[in-house]
Amino acid sequence: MQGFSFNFQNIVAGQGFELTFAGMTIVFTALVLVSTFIALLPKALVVLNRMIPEVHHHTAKPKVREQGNEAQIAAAIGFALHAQKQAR
Amino acid sequence: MHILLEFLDTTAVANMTFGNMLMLIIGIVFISLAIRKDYEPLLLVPIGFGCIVGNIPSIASMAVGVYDPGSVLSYIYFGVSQGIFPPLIFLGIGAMTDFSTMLSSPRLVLLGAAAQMGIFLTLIGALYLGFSPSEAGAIGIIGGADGPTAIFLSAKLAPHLLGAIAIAAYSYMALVPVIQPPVMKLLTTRKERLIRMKPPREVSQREKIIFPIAGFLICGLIAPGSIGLIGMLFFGNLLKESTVTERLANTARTALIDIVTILLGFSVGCSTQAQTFLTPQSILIFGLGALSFAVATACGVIFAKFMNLFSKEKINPLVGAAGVSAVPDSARVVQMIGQQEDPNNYLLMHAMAPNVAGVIGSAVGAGILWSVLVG
Repeated sequence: MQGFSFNFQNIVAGQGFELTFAGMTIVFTALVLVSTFIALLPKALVVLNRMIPEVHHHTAKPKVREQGNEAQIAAAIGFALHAQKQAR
Repeated sequence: MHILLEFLDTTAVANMTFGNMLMLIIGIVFISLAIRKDYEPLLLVPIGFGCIVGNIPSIASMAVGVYDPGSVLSYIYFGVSQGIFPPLIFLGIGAMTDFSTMLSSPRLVLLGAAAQMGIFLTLIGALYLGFSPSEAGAIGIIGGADGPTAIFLSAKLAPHLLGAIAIAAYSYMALVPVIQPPVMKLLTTRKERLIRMKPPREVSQREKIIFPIAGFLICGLIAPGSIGLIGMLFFGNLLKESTVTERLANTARTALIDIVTILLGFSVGCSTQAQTFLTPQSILIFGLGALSFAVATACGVIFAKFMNLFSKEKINPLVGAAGVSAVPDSARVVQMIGQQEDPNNYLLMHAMAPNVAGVIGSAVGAGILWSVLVG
């Protein structure tokens, strides 16, 4: 920067408007394509999953067991033991 | 006696200038803001202390500063000046980022693109003020609200402005909760702020694995200048999502990113020597930086309102403000403003979609500016 020179002409000379237009067009193009890909991905995966079914790798995290009624059973056992102890 | 006098001449006290003292105070203010106000402490503490270290004057024959060839600090600063640290930070960010919300709401990706208008409008502003096109491009990227990207691009296009641009970018990122809310409230009605959005769908592991590869190919093929940043971002994410490289992902998002953040923050702070930092250009850069954050926020919000004209499922326009890539601060701000109107409206997950899209958008923007303006 060679000193201050506030001037609209600087924008024109530096091709500011062309850069802005081209830049925003490219950014939008990239993200519209990303967005389109994401939107189509679940549909493509339906086909892909039929051709190549998912396998669980030996290093994959273990599946979370479905939450059963273990807590209630434990509470019931606890209560039963407590009641038995009281009865003695 | 003359040895003692000669030594006294070499002390920092004897060579201290008013500018150095001012920068020491700025460094202390940064550290105070980080500790007392919790403003980006992981960055402001290293930058603030670096600021103090960099402004202790030394005599010309001693190579101690970041700009002195052969000094320890110059070797650390090499990672900044050659643009090595920012891609490594992107690797860590990728290993931390969960793209699920973005994968479940593809239309919100566009908000991340709209907010990048801040980059290009700031570029126009910088050109108007008399900066050269390369300098204007480096200043414009502050509008991307992404510190590593700002450092990467200014190292390539305008290394002499790197200190001012880095400090401006990180200072305003810390001030996201201050800059964004007034703009968001000004551009939205209460009715709009109350809009509730559908909860995001569950995303399969396969989608999460495929996305980083496809996302990189799309962005890399369109803007090859961005592959250093985008490549590392998506590589880090693939390490996280592949389920077979958990150790690598864990290193990238913990030890590696922490080490690089320390070195980057500290050496950027050291580069703010008064003689190079306290210039009228720096003041203009700070002014443009504040403006660029406000413009980027406004563009995201306005674009969300524009999308609502055509959408059946309305978007809460506040979510548009998260299109700036200050992750996750701007998403948190969206959540905060939304809950001020309706405490049961949870916008955070929705806001994360444009937020991470903004990271991709700003890296693509940087790649474009680098390709066009270099040389």
